[in-house]
Amino acid sequence: MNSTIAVQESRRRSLWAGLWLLGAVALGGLTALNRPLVGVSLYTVMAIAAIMMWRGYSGTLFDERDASIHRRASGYTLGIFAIVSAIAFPLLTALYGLGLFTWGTWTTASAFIAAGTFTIYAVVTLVLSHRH
Amino acid sequence: MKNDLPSRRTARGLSQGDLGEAVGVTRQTINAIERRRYNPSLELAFTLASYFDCQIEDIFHY
Repeated sequence: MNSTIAVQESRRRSLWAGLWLLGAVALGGLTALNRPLVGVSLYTVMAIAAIMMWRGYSGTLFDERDASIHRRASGYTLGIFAIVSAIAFPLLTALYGLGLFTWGTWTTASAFIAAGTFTIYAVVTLVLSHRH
Repeated sequence: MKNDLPSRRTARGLSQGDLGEAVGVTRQTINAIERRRYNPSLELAFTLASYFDCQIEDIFHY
């Protein structure tokens, strides 16, 4: 691999991230602008383009270091989410018990998402611990 | 973990990209290993040792 290919590798990695970002922005932005189907279409096109670009690259675009970074990032993200959830939801429940808070659509959905996330985490941890 | 990957690589006239391609990782990973910012997996360490025809402990020093 010469420096030109190394630059190509770097550009393709940026393109990969850019396509997913553009797809996500298109999905969110166009949905907010009441054009959900256009948003989904653009997201799908960007996602397919990103996957085709990745599959069509003959070199190594992502490797064990990327996997390691993603593992650490996932761990930190889940850790932050756990700390926030462990404080926020009992506090909101206490406030609800005191009549100072009402569970609305968003807070209820957030609570279920948190519960669902950690249920999945517990199940995956259990399965992996049996395999290793 | 210390390593003498840069000297072994340059002795063979290889760029980081060349070595990355030879062992199936990105140039950034070779760069990160050389700068001691990333410790390779055992599998990659074995692959590097095999590529340079030596033992892992000849390249990596703890």
